[in-house]
Amino acid sequence: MEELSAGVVARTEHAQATLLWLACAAPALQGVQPGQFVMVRCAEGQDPLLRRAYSLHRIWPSGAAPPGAPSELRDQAGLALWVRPAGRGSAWLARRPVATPLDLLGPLGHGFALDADTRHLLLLALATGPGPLLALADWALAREVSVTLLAQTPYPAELVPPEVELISLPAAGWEARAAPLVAWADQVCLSGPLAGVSELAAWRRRLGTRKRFQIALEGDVACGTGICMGCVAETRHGWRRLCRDGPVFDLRELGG
Amino acid sequence: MTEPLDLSVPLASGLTLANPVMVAAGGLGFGGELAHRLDLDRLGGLVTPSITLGARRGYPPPRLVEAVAGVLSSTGLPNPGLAAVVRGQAPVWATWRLPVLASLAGATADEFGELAEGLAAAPGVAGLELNLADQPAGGLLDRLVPAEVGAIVAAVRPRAALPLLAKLPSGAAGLVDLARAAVEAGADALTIGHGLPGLAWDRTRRRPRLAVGGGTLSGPAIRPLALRAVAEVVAAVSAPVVGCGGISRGADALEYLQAGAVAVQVCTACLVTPRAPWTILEEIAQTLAAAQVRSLNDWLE
Repeated sequence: MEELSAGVVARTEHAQATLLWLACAAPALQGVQPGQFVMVRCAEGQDPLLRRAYSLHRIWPSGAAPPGAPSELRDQAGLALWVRPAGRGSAWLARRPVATPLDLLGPLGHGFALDADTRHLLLLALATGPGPLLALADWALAREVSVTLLAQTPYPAELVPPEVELISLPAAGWEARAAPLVAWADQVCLSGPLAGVSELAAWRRRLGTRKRFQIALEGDVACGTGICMGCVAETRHGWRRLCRDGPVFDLRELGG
Repeated sequence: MTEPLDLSVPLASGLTLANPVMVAAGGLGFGGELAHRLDLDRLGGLVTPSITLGARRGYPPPRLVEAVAGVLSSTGLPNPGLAAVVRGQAPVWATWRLPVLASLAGATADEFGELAEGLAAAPGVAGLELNLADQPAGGLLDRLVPAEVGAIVAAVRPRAALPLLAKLPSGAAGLVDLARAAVEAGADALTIGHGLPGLAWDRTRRRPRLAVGGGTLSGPAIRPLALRAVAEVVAAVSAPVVGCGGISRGADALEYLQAGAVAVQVCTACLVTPRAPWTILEEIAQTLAAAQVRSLNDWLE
């Protein structure tokens, strides 16, 4: 729930989204986990009223900016937001000019946890985009874990670390393409909308695997702090809040 | 040395707030989750989310959608129930200077009485606020008539020797009569009000966007309507009135106070920025300092 001070240092335009590159004070990012998110004010006045939730698309400490980061961020800690204009708030945010401060709350929620014995990590980005999975890839590579990223929507190859295998998935029949890679992986991490989670859970059950699947859920989050009780998802233990109890859940909690 | 500004406001016998900025029911939850990050003791008061006799899971999602300059919500009052609140939350409130007012939501007058008795016996409860606008299992709003309001307040009054606020919805028909009935039955003060009934529509799915259909509209969109309701009740009853509805800036709060409210409650603004009540308080203090007055009363006169 901390307020995070960050300003837009650069923006890069891509086919599906605008990437906002933000500089932050390094201490503010200590201990941040991939999968956590920030709540961003997306208006100067009172409409749209609510903040928008954005996963931390990239997170890096000082001197470790990811591929594609603008040169002025090479020596600074920072984070990047993948902003896909889909409504009034995101369209406003995608137009933020360079040198604009952003009003952020965060980092919020619980992120991904890599198992200590994971050596091969499979990342699966569903149609809504890569969410926090690139930040997770960076994190895994730093722990000498090999990473394969399956993406349902095209993702710019120049933003992907060269050590990561990037594979495009077809919109239909992607499960057959992904299944052998599940066999290869020690752990599977996904990003996708709450609306599609029951299909993913059913897919995991059909695979008959005991491997751990974690998913960063995307859904409407109103306050981000757990207070409004608005963003609930049904789990094995009843309603749980995406913002406070997630957004990363074990897929088994969601029926997988 | 400059004397500190006196922002204190008497709300009821035995309950004077350090300043007029309160958090409305649900604005910051039960307070405990955020207490280590926010200086709660600086505020005038905190009203808890509405407490029911038994635990409630709340309604299925979607529970909350954005409206123009506002929020439409229907959560179904999720809360852990009276016993869990008394056991788990009240001992924490007892360690704060901040007055905590417990919001009660009963389905009947008897239930309100039982809730009041249970909370009056708990540590750390400075007052009670009866939620007469947003009841579990619906229904009560449909029969929100002066006799029913009076019966609920009368059922609570002898069972709790605590300051008692009755919260009424700004948009209720015959609001002034409801307010009079609450005061005549023993309410010490009134909270006006609660959001207004609304509906958001999903054209693609051809149904309401909220899972349960309609909801309550809150936020800046309703502020002029809520302010009018406060002014009408202030003109009609002598009991203190707490204003609530779309307050997100110090200037908004000062408008309510000039219109006759003794204090204000902040709710939806907390969902946007949890520090909103503190910012509002600072903006009020800045306005009074700029006017070179020593107290809120001096500024209002």
